Amino acid sequence: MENGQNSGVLRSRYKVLLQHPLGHMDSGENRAYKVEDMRDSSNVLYALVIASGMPFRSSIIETITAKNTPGMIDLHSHGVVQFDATDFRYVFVFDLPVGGYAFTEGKGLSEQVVLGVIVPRIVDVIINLASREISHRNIRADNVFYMEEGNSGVAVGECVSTPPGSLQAAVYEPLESANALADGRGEGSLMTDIYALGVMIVHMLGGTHPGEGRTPAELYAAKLMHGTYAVLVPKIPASSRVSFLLAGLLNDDPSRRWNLDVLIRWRDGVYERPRPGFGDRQAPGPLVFDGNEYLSPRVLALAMTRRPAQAYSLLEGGKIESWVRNSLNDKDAGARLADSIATGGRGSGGARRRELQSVAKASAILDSQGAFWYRESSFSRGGLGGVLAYAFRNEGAVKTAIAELLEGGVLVDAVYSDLQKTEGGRRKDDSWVGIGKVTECFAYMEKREDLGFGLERCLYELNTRLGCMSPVLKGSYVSDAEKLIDLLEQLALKENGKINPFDRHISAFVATRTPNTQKMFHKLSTIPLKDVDYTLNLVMILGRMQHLLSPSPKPGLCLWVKSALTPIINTIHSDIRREFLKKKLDKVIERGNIELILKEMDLKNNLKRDASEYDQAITSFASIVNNITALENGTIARKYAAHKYGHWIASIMSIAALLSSMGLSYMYFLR
Amino acid sequence: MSTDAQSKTGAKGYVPLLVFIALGSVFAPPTIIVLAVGMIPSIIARFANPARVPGTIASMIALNLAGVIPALGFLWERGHTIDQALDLLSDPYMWLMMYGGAGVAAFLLWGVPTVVLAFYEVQAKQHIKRLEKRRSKMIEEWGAQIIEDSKIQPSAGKNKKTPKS
Repeated sequence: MENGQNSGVLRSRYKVLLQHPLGHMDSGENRAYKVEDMRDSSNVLYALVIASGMPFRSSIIETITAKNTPGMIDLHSHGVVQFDATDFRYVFVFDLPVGGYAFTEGKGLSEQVVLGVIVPRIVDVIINLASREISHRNIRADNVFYMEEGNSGVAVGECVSTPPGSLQAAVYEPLESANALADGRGEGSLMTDIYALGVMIVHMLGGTHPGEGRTPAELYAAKLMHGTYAVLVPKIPASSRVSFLLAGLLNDDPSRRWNLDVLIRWRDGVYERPRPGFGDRQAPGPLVFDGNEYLSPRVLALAMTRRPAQAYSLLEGGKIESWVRNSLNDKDAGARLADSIATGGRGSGGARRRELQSVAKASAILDSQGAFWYRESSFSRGGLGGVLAYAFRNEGAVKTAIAELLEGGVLVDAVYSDLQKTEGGRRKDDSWVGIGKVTECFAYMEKREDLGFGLERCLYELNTRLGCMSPVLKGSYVSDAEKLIDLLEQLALKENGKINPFDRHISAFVATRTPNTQKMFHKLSTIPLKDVDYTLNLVMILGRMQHLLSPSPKPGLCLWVKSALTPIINTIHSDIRREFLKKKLDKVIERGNIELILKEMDLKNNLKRDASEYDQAITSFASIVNNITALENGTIARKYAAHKYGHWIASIMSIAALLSSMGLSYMYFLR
Repeated sequence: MSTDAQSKTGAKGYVPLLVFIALGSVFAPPTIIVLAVGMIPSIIARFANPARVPGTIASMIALNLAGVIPALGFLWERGHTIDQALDLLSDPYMWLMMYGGAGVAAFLLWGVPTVVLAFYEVQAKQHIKRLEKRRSKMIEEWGAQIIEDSKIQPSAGKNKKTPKS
């Protein structure tokens, strides 16, 4: 443990000043604080303290810190900071933009400032990040700053502290992720950043939020029907130069959107005529659903998710399938739709769930580029992990929906069906979730009641760097099982062993992060919860973790082991053995070695021997009691026996007397 | 064995006795007179013994006979005549000797079982004491639960696990 001097200090240099919060720099649920650079006091920095259960973008951190990105707030450092003995938080330290926001809501910026100062800078950032194969996913008007006083040094804000795109307003998201929940928008691509840049330009020039007054679903439907350009651009005063740029940036088809090369040429002053987009493909004949006519399959998919019951009857009637086959002329999608109806819903839950499952699969086929929908949850490609973490942070309907989605096998079916699709003569190789991961999650959900499995396991499998979300840790961040065991030790010491080091989260976290324990959790799942073996196996897992990951003495966890083993010891019938084992346990926990405790206690053998000896004792005891009762009630029998035996003795004595009399008479009278 | 068969076996047992009495009455009437009078307690005991406890009659006959034999000795010594037999029977010491044997038999038949019973009782009490000591020791080692568990089938104890405080 670090000493008090290092409390709140990152890498012995950046001191996070919790007493100086910077509310305006908060990033979603992550709180911002002033930072003191202990080596260079001229640095003006701020820290983002990551909220518990927030899946920050660990996969891009190293790439971002490896090289400076001009035009983006500089990430100075990051890592785990200890605030007190048991409070660890993940912290990012950035340059503080002292010049403030580049854009204020309600005050539009001039075309010169936007296109002359801000956009080129952000284009540089996009180009720079694209060269490293990462996307920013946080390009929006209120995330652009002036690094220095006097409106100079434009920089786009950080992009690592939250799931990709989760802080974006829905209008900033392209059709691939616009209808997903904020935390489930997925990594996206360079094209997503280019699209966001376009929306940002609209936002800055217009001065007001481009999606104002519309719900995300309305925006999504409008973009599908008319195209983003048509929905957003006419509202702002735009020159032809801006219109060309926006038409290129806001094309809803990523393959027709301006790519990096065109953007570079634009930055260098070569303007190209863009190919404007017009929303989703349209069928020549409409499909009537719920009183409305639909020409776009994606808009239809959106409408179906709103009214699943009605959608199901339409699906069952085969109308959608024949519309897709005949009107849209998409035989492949038609076949997959027919298949989704034929396979129906899986698992338990009745007709309602079957309807939802079928509609979810059908809408995934109709809108295979958009987010996957199921009840209250929706997520884009690569966004399931983020939305699952969100669901755990905010217990509620989303979590229930995801659990239902994973356990019912709907997602497996949808992903499998999606991967059957051919694009340009080739089979697709990516989907909303990898087929391997989703199959694994389905398997974990089959054992959802068992420790180390269930939705928690899916959470940690899908978010490989997410800290453990166990309430036992009280929000502290731990990235791996080694840190977890050390933190649990501190907490156990603090609480005198009265913690639960194996709640559902910790178990799932350990099973995910420590492959060596996976077999043990599988074994544990086969043992009934109330069995002694269950507790012994739990302790064994903890012991194995200590042995493999953190072999130093763990007196705190040993106290927990004591509290877990004491009820087992108490089941021992023999007082002598019980007391002996209790004394032995008290002695052996002092050494802080969990595996040693199990070895020394040898509880399994002791219980076995105790049970066998107790059986014998019961038999002996019953026999003793029977004997006592027989003896106490045996007076009559004894009397009878005494009578019989007494008479026998008397007859022996009499015969002896007779023989004596005969002998004496012979000697007296005949001699 | 049926009652008829038993009575037949019992009747067969008396044949030698009856032959002996018949022969004795012919060839040694004084002896038979002394025997008949001296053995009256045994004859009474034979017919008045309702329990028919094995050994009681044997004891009675043996001790009665033990008292009669010296009287017969005196008869044969003084002259084996009916007068001598009657004379002998008029001697109260002879009566005391003959019937005293029967009396001792009666005393033994009452006293020895009483003594044996007393011994048995003492032995049983000591055994109960020992068993109770063992019982207490087992309760001390295995807890009071063993009292309840022992009332069920002993094999049920195999899976019985009652937490101890």
